[in-house]
Amino acid sequence: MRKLLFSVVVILIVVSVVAAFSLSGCKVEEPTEEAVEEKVEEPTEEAEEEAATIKEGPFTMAFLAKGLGAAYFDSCADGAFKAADELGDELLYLGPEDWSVENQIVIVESLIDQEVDVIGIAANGKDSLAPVCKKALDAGIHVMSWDAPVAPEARESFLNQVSFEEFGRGMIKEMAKAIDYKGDIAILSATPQAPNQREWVNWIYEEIKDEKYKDMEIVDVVFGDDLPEKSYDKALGLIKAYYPDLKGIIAPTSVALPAACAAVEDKGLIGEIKVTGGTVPSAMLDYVKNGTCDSFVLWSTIDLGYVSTYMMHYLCTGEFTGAVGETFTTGNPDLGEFEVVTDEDGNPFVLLGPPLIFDINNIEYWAEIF
Amino acid sequence: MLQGESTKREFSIFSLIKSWEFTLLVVLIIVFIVNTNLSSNFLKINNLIDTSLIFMEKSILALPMTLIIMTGFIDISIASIVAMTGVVLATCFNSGVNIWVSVIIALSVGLIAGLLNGVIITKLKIPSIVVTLGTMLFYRGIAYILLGDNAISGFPEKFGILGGAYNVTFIPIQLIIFIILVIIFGLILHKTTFGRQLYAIGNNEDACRYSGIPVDRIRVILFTIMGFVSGLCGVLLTSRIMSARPDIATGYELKVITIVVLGGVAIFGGKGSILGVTIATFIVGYLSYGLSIINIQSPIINIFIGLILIITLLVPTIVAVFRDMKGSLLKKFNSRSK
Repeated sequence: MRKLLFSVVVILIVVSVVAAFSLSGCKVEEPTEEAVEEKVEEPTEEAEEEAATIKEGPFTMAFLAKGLGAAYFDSCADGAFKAADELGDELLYLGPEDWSVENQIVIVESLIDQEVDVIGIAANGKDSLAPVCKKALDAGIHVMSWDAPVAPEARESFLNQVSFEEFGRGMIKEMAKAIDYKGDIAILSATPQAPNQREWVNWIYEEIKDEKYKDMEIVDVVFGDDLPEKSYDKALGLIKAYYPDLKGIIAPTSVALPAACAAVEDKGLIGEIKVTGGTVPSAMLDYVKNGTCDSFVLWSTIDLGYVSTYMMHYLCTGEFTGAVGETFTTGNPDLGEFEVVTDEDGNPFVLLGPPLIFDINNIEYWAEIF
Repeated sequence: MLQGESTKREFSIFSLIKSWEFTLLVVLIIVFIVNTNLSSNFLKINNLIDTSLIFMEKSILALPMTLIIMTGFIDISIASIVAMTGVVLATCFNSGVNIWVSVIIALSVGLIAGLLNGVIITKLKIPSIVVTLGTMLFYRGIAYILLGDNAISGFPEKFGILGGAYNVTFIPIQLIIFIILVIIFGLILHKTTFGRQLYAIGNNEDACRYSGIPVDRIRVILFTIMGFVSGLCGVLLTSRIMSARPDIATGYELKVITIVVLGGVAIFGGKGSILGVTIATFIVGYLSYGLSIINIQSPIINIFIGLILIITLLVPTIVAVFRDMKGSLLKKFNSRSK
């Protein structure tokens, strides 16, 4: 009984200490992060009271990647920071270190608590992230996604890096150029279920129906699960099964493309079998230089981060709401004007632009960048 | 008995201060104070309740894990069971089974998975860490076979209430389940003969066998409970993220074991309390949440949790060193050997 009494007393002490702390924390406005944030918020609130439709920054923006430690997302963040500098906003670059859905949810939860102005997310799961993103929207935080979307009802807009069609068709065009429109080709994909892979492979099949590819044939599609060793083994398997008729391998994943190049190189078949696909240029510098790969496609990750940061800013100011037909421009006039369009399901999104083609002429420049 | 101070009949403030739970409580208060300074919103009651959602599954798993570690065993297949049950639930739902029937099927699958662990461990006399290492891969493999790299979603909104994906109740159902389980497990461990037997098995298994305690049967029961609770967490997690994926809950087993050890449960068994584990789960949960508020990346959060674990575990050693200086350790040793 006394123990119970004592524990009650302890709990009371805890509560009072914490309460005292929280009160003093509110009153004493030392130049902590909190105070800075409050100062940041003041002008926006005033602007709101003046009933001006365009709010003024600076805003706190969260740029949330699928995970940390990948050259791909780091280069996206480079572009995002560049845009944030131009706009005078504060940008937080975040992401789960284990690339998991759960930890990404934790990060979004903490961002809601921090009351950031906008969250831009490359979602690890379209539906898994939807509840928490909806919660952010309910809390008055703008949500847009880039690279990988969350479900449409949990976002205000989506910046798609490239259309599936252009990317898929682009890869087969590059392959045709490399093998002079003649010979068997095989596809080394990631997994049968990955939605982007499935779309790209479908568009490859769509494009090859064209008359000019009549001497080309897709003999096999194999899956390396986006694991380097497995992709390498699968590429070796393709070479073993179909060479010398096999003239090319298309690997539309950032993992499989270097792996396929390595397999061709190790077999001493440089020039005999051409490889193309999509990955970050820094992984491909050597292979483009030694002729394993003539050219490959990707989008500019820097522009992806750059444009999505502008979208985040415009969502905050209210100049952009994500409605179909709306347009906006960024600080870089070369990128032109962006317009909100709809996909096959009628969901609005913004398209970054045509894919970028990397070859011997520009690979060194881009490999430096990402 | 080794579990010592916390359950001593004699009451004194000193013994309370010396107890593990008190140390943990102090750490928890420090975490709260630091967090409150980091975010003015932190201490709001609905924020506290809301954020508890992000670690509640691990907290729930820590309870049966406490009992298993208490008897000197371990189960590292829990995260895989969580993933497998989540996937089973989704697969059933996808093939047209009613969502609540799917939940029951998922719970049964968890229960069977745990039972299988327990039976293999006790009948074949293989160490639990080896068996559950095997089943960890086995269960995760089943999850991948059922779903591949796909994710199943589109559950009815009603189902989301369970995990708090849709805030309907003020106190999330997950938290209510956790509190109920804390009470149940606390009563079992500290108030029943069964609970006393767990301490005894952890301290000296052979002596227990000779004195007629059904050690193997108790172990099977514990692993079955563990499997069932893992299944429950699989359901809750699936409900919280409103989709099922085979790669969810990776690494949960280590986080849960961290919580249990931080809670004062001896890793070789025989010592610990549910109260300690309960406080520890809030320490780990709110510490990592507090750090993520100031945008510290998760690898560094893990470093902090590791540090807290080591420092907290060091406290008794440091206290012992001080006692040693006074020469009282010798006295204690003498009095014990009498």
